[in-house]
Parts: sequence; structure tokens; C-alpha cells
Amino acid sequence: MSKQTPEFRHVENDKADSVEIPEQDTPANWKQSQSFKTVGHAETRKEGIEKVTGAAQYTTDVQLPGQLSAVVIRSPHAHARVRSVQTAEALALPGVVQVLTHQDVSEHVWYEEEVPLLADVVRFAGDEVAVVAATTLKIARRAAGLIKVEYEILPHVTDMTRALDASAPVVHGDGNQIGEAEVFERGDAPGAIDKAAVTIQLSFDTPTAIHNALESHATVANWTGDSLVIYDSTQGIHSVRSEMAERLDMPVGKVQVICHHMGGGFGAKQKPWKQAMLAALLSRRCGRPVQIFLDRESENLAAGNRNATQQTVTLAAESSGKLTGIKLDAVKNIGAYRMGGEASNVGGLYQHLYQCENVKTTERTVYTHTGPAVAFRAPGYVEACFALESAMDALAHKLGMDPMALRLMNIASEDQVQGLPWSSPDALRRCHERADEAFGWTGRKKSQESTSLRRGFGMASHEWMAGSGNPPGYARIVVESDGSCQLLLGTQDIGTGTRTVLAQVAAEALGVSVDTVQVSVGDTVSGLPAPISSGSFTVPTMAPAVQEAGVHARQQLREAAAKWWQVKVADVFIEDGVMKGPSGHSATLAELMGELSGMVIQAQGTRQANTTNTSIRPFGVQCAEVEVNVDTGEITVLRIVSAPDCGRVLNPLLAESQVIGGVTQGIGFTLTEQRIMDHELGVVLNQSLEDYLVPTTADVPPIEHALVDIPDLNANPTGTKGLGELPLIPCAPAISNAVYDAIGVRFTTLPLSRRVVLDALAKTRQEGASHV
Amino acid sequence: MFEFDYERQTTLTNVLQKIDTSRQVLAGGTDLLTRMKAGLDQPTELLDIKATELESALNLSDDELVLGALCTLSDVDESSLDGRYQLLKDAAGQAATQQIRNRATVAGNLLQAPRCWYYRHPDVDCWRKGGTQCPAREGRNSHHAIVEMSPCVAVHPSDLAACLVALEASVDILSREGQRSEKVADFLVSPVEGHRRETVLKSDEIVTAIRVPTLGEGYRSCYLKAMDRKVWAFALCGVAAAVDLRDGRLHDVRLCLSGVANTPVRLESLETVLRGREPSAQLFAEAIDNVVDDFTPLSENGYKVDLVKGLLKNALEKLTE
Ligand SMILES: Cc1cc2nc3c(=O)[nH]c(=O)nc-3n(C[C@H](O)[C@H](O)[C@H](O)COP(=O)(O)OP(=O)(O)OC[C@H]3O[C@@H](n4cnc5c(N)ncnc54)[C@H](O)[C@@H]3O)c2cc1C
Ligand code: SF4
Repeated sequence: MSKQTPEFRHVENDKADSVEIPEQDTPANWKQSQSFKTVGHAETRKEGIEKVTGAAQYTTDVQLPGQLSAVVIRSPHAHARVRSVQTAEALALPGVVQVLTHQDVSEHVWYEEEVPLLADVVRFAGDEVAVVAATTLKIARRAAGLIKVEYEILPHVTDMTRALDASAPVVHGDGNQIGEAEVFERGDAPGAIDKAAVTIQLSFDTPTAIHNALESHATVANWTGDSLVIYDSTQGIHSVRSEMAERLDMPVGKVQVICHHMGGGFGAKQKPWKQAMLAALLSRRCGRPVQIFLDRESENLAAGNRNATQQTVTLAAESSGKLTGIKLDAVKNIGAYRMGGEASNVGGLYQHLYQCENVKTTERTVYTHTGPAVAFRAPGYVEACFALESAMDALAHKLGMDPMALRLMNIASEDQVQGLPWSSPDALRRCHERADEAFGWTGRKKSQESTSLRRGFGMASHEWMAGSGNPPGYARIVVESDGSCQLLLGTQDIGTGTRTVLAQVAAEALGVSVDTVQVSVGDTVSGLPAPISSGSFTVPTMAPAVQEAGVHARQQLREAAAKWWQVKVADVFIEDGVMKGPSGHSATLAELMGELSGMVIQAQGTRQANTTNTSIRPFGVQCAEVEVNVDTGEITVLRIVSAPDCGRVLNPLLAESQVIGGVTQGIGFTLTEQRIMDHELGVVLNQSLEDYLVPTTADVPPIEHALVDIPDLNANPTGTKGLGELPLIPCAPAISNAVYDAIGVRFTTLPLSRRVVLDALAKTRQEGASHV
Repeated sequence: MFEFDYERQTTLTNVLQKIDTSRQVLAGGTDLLTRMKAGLDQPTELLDIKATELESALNLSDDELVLGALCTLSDVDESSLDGRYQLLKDAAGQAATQQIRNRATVAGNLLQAPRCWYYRHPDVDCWRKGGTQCPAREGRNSHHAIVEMSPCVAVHPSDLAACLVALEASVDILSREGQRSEKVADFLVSPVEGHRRETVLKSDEIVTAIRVPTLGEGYRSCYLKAMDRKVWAFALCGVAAAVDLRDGRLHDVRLCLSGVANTPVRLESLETVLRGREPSAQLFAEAIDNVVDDFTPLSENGYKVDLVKGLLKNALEKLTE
């Protein structure tokens, strides 16, 4: 235990810093085999009833007195100069209150390129040109149709390969590649590849995918005097608050951000988006609350996407299968603007997953006249895993090795980039074991095949750069005068069940039942900073803070009871919400709090910095079984087993929900989803959900969560790591490798549409025929 | 969206008196409303026909199956039609989603406009919309036609239509002038200069019913649909197939494709080759290979040729196994 996170043991606390906490009543470091009352149990969602009855309030439900609705006018052109915007007709429409164009807000800039908030030059079809606020949404929409914009059309480039041509139209500055290529190098990968016994080289294309959260980007902004309240559909109430305060040049304390419930973000809602700024500016001008929510088309054009990539992967290995070299050359299509700080990390997986002395990754990021890319659930890793793990599968087949055995042979024994041991060194091996057991990988057999229908098995593994925790994070627990408990947090529940798991942690640490813990999240008025809910960081950041607050509150309860009963603190304990003392003393929390006459117990917990002596990363393995109709190119995923390592599993039900959601998105990325552009016209053709195909329940097979559940006590005292992103990462290669197993065709393009599958089968037939 | 009037109609006489280019019929609204939202149609008034005396039932008698104009795709999907008409159930049941099927009428289904993503795009002009060019020809045409019929390469979106053509069904049409009837195969047409539409229905006419001649006891049928998702997608291609299989011989074969052209495409030559023969994998393979020469795929939809072949093979195997 000695090297485990000493900084969590003696934490500063406003109430309880001088108290010594006896070991038997100290759950400050939850051990491997601890028996828990609620942690690890399948508690149902705290907000479940609110959600299913429709009582839960989302941003689009917010309706304040006098609220206006605003609609954004977007460019139909990929690249153009805005010559003029005629607003008179719109302004004359009864009910229209305000129209803003470039001129009206020219002092405000947006994106890392600091372009005007409302464009004078548009750089993608969907770029924001004007905004109109009216008394109803219907009027605002009609008014939007009356605003006439005159454009001078400029040449565009929407294709990432063409964008790198010297002759291509430029998006910004004097070239479309952003800065220098990012290069990572250890050892001599090209040399190793030259000398290798076996090599694999494959080039992959991954598509632009759209987040398509059920709830689109939405904001209601309302000024009272010089204070601003923002209801925002966001993954980061604090990031919205601080950035909006800065942009509006006002004290952070005068901005309050609220997001009680949200219908998904998946990375596209980490910062304030334009609609938040426009709503705030409109509200200030109009003196009324203003709501903007994007319709599906706008959402899918202008509110983020997973950047397309091209990756050329070279693997070098000994004939035993031991990897000797890994090389990646990647190009990423960032779109027309950078939202900032969220670049897709394609190289990371290549640098970390396998033990290999010679690794070189080169990544180039390219501007095109398309909607801005932004983080999307495991950005970079999802794209990288398809390429790397497909190449590993190809290597296994070339070597005649079992794909899982090849991966086990090459597992990285440490973090080779930082030169640190893994915080949970057995985790990835354990993921393989669990996936193997649950799927029946070893001893798998194809059944029920026919000449048309072929079956196959595939697998993939991964690690993930985030998920360790993103401190600081703060928690406050208040035991009220009636004995009920409040858990106050500055985090947000983006639909993952944050309220529920953190209530479990609080209840466990306090020694009370989870039902007695009320959780307050999603409002900056709590005054407790918390990180953005991204990078699978929320649980590993917040749970330790909550745990610590719980421990301190529990100690205060014991002291209070000891004082009341005139016994030693060490002889007082809490069991199932009841205080117990040495000679049959017993009191409910309500009785104890009654005795304190009006006083409450308050305790705070702080999540401090991550350890620096180990590398904290989660891992995972996924296996897939598919059936392929070789006549029609139809792929049916029959089952998926997902074995993610997220450290301790706080709630298997919610963990399973993450697995189901992540795999479902993975199936979409693999089989159905892609943004389709007409490069000539520069427009997106499938901006609505009719042609942008997200998977339906019929596309999604039974998904089994093979619980790994190894507490990572080097990571933090709760032993938790992030989970949300993991199940999506290895899904595409697991499925694509299974398709290879079924029909012997290696796919290097996603999604595996009928067209891709049938074209590849035709090519294989032709090549086969020309060999005869 | 623009302003328009809506009136619930209770008699056909009224509807027929009012109907013209700007006063359009509304049935389930699943296509018309999406067209209006995209600005493709701008009627001044919608005449809701759901409360008129138009038939919504599906009636099978000795010599015909009659689908009332208001019969929904759900009605067809959930009907007790026997295996001879399985293709209709397959096509209806695989179209759209349950909610849409509950609203979508069979008449409206034949009258839907193309789903071509250029056509439906609010910011793109095209020939079918009255422009001069078809951007799909040289553009993103993976969903488009592999049979050249007109300046437009959009495919007819209906699944049911291919089945109705295979079944040699006809459409009852009513106007102030009186009643007429058209074979579905003639009712659906390629858009041409001067008539950039997919049906011969005039703006003052309504469809009252679809009539399918009954099939003999030896028939069985299916409709196989290929989509890029398991459900809730328009067909990339589909095959409507019916065979009269008795005593080990194919007395009749009906094959019609969806998703390959402006209209459903009946494969008469393939039908002729197969008619009278004993089914076998080899026969099917050879016949299918010989018949698909006529296709003229575009840059991105060559796969549809293979897809059609595969669907035909699977359908014939399924019906003769
Ligand atoms: C998301 C979605 C998915 C779909 N997927 C499929 C699919 O997979 N396969 C498929 O085949 N279809 C599909 N459809 C199309 C759907 O089946 C049609 O929209 C529907 O059948 C149209 O019927 P309706 O009653 O809603 O017609 P409406 O929308 O009411 O009308 C359509 C047109 O027909 C006219 N009209 C309707 N009835 C009559 C009549 N009796 N006489 C004269 N004119 C009339 C209307 O004026 C209008 O021009 C889909 C539609 C949607 C929205
Ligand atoms: S295929 Fe037809 S509908 Fe589509 S763009 Fe061409 S002309 Fe227009």
C-alpha cells in the first residue's frame, strides 16, 4: 500500500483536517476485495423517473417569460465573400425583434483562426452569416427566409487530398496544411522495416462521421442587469462560464451556466459554440431571454464532426511475430476552422499499444472548406484503431498466427513514451482473458454457413490516452438537519449516469443508503469547479473527491455522536445510516442531527493531481462475430463482446449502458455512417438523418459486457478510470477483421457499405480470374 | 416554411372540384410534407382526403386483389394475404418505419417524388427541379440509376411499385371527366422534357384504388430489398419476384427491379429464359449472368449490377428451395 497515492491520505479539509481517522472506519482507500454496500451494485438511475416521465428539463425545454427564438442564416456556398445582407424585409415582419449580421458584431471573433463571429467570408456550406430573433420560432424561421444575402463565390476545396495540392484554393493564409507535420519517433522505424522478416503495409481511409447527439446544440441566454444566466446543452458548464465571461469581458462570477440534463454531446459540446455567443449577444440587445437550438441539418453541418483520416501503416515483425517496427503516415481533415485543443490524436495508439523499439508517426492536419472537426468520443483513437488493428490482423494472417496470440505476444509492458510503468500492469492481458472467456475466442468454430452466407470472427485491442482523471474536482457533502444528505458538485451529468454513480460513492463513504443522497449537478452556482465531461474523465476525477468528502462527513458525524453520547470517537461507527455506539447506543442520522439543533454537517473533498510515477491508461479488447452475404454484400453483426478496463466498476448497469452505447456508435462508424460531400458543389448531401444513416436497433446485435473490474489503486483511491470512450475504439477493426475472416477480403475503407463490400468482392474475383 | 391552407375533405366530389396544381391532395403526408419543407412543392391549399369515401381496405376476391387508395403500408404489411402475395407484405413491411407505415398510403407511395439527395437539397438546383443540369451524373451517384432512361438518373423510391409491376397491377384514376385505368407499368414513367414527373397522373386526377389480378394457387413470391442499414432506408436495389412453381417446373416467372431506374424495371427476357424450365442453381446463375448486360452504371454505382444479380439469385433460390 505504501506507494499508493499518498497525497490522497491526508487531505486538507476545512472542518476535519486535525482528526485522526481510525482504520476500521476509513474507506479512504478502497481495497481490491472490499465488500461494498452500494458501490459495484447495479443501482438504477437517480434521474430515471424524471426522464421517462418527461419531467427532466433539457435546454430546448427552457421557456422563460418573454423568451425569443432565434434562427441562424447559413451559407449555401463552400467559399464566398458576403457582399451584402438585406435585412429590411425580415425586420418588417411582425414579431421580428432583432437581426444581427457581420457588421453588428464585428468586434467578436470565433475559432482559433479568430475569424468574425458572423462571417464576412464564409468557408463552408453551413457557415453562420446572420441571426434573427423573433417572438416565436415560426416567425424567426419565416424571417430567416426573407433575409437576402449576396455572395461573391470563391473557389473551394472540400477534398482533403486535393487540399494538399499546391494549386488548391486556400482556406486560410497561404497553404492548407496546418503548421509542420507532428512527428513522434523512437528508435529507427524505417531501418527496422527494411530489415524485417515480415512486413505489412496498408493504407486506410476513415470517413467524416457526425456526432448526432439526440439533443442538438442549444442555448437560452438571459441577462438580468449586468449578470448573465446561460442554459446550455454542454459537457462543461465551467468551461462555458469562463469562456463566455472572457469573451464578453465580464467577471466570471457574473455568469451562471446551467445544464441539468442533456441528450448527449460525444465531444462536440465541450466549449461554448456559436449559438451560445449569439444568444448572449441577442439577449443583451433585446433585453429578453433568447433561445437558439440548431435543427438537425445545421447540427450536422456546423457543430462538429469526427475528422476523416488517411493512414498509411507499416508494420515490421520477426517471423515469431514480435514487432520490430511501426510506422504511420496520417493526414487529418480538420475542416475550415479549429475549435481548439481537441485535435484527434491518431498517433497515440501506435506509440503506446505494442512493445516496440522502433516507432515513427507522422501526422498532418489539413484545412478544407468543410464544417469544423472537433473531438468525437475517443478522437483519433477510433480512426487509428481501425487502421492499426486491421494491419495487426493482416500480420497475424500472414504469419499464420492467432490474432489474439499475436497481440498478447506484443503487449506493451510499460508506457514507452513516458518511460513509466502502467498503473495497472495486468489490465490489458486481463481484458484479453475476459474477452476470450466470454466470447469463446479460443476454440471458436464457424457454424451454419451456406454458399451465400459466410461467418467470421474478429477481434481488436486498444489503450486510451485519457480516462485517468482531469483534476481538480471538488465535492461538498451536507448532512441536513433531518439527516438526509446532499451531494453538491460542479460537474454535469451528460446522460451517462454521473448523478447515480457519485451518489453511490458518497453513500458508501458516508455509510448511508444511496436513496438518502440527493445529488445536485449541472449548475455553476454550486461554486465548485469541475472539469469538462470529456476524455472519460468524470468518474475518475469526481469519485475520489466525493469519496473524500464522504469520509470527512462521516468523521464529523462520529465526533458529533461521540460528544452527544460522551464516548470515544473511536467507539462510534455508522452502519446503514444508523449511528452506533459502545453500549448499545444507537441513533438515526435524523436523531443525531436533531440533537445538533439546526447545525448541519458539511465536508469537502478535493481531487488532486494524478500520480506522476505511473502511467494511468485504460485498455480494452473486443470480439465480433459476423455473417456476410457474398451475393448481396450484406453484413450482419451477430454478436459483440466488449471487455473494457475502466478500473473499478462502480455500477455494472451504467457501465453496461456505456458499452452498449459505445458499441452501437462503433457499429455506425463501421457499417453505416459517413458524411457525403459533393466536392464539385462543395455541399454536404446527407445532412439530414434520412441519408446519414445512424444504426437502428435492427443493426445492433446482442452486446455483452465482459466485466474486467480490476481496481486501479495507483490511479486514485477509488480505483476508477474512465469508461465512456473505450467500447467505441476497437469496434470497427473487430468487425472488419471478422469480415475478413468470413470472406477473405481486407477492408481499408469505412463504412462497409454494400458498395464497398461488393466492389471489393468484384475486384477479388477479377484478380482471381486474372491469376488463372 | 410558407403559409398554406388546410381543409379536411369529406366527399370526393368536393375534392375533384377543387383539385389543381396549387390545391393538392394530402393523404398520409409523409412525402408531401417533406417536399413542402424542402420548397419543392408550394401548394396554396391541402385537400386532406383521409375522411372521404375513398377505400382504405384491402379486398381479395376470386379475380382480383383491390387495395383502396387509403390503404396504408401497415395495412398491407399486417394483412392476412397468403404466400402468393408475400412480396407485397415484404415490400410494405420493409419500407420506412412503423410510424411512417401507419400513415403512408399505397397511392401516395406510387406518387412519391425522387429521394435523390441533390433533388431534396435546398441549396442545389437540378434538371428535375426545372434547372438545366443533373449534378448526380458526374457527382455522388452511388444511389442512382444503372439504366439510362432520361436526363434524370434518380431512381423511383417505392418498394411497392416494383411488386405491383411484377403483378401486372393497374391503377384506378378519377377526375371530373370520369374514370380511367392505367397499368402501374404505364402509370410510372421517366421524366422527360415538358413532363418532369414520374407519373402520368394529371393535376386534376386522383387515384382511387390499385387492382392486382389474382395469382393461381401455384404462385409464391418475395421482395428482397438491399439497404445500407437493416431497416429504415430506401432501397439501394430490390427484387420483386413471383414464380408459379408446380411439378418441379417454373410455369411462370415475374421479376421486377427497384432502385435501378426512374421506374421499376421488369426483366422480361430473364423471365422468358426461366419460364417452363426446371429450377436449378446452374440455370439461375447462367440466366442471371446473361441478362445483366444492359446496365449502364455511373461512376459510383457499378456495385448495383452485382447487387441486382445477387438479389435475383437469392430470390430465385428462396422461391424454389
Ligand atoms: C423516412 C421515410 C422513409 C421512407 N422509406 C420508404 C421505403 O423504404 N420504401 C418506400 O417504398 N417508401 C418509403 N417512404 C415513402 C413513403 O412510403 C411514402 O412517403 C408514402 O407511401 C406516401 O404516402 P402518403 O399517404 O403519406 O402520401 P402523401 O405524402 O400524402 O402524398 C404523396 C403525394 O401523392 C399525392 N397523393 C396521395 N394520395 C393521392 C391520391 N389518392 N390521389 C392522388 N394523389 C395522391 C399527394 O398529393 C402527394 O403529391 C419513406 C418515407 C419517409 C418519410
Ligand atoms: S438525378 Fe434527377 S433529381 Fe437527381 S440531380 Fe439529377 S436530375 Fe435532379
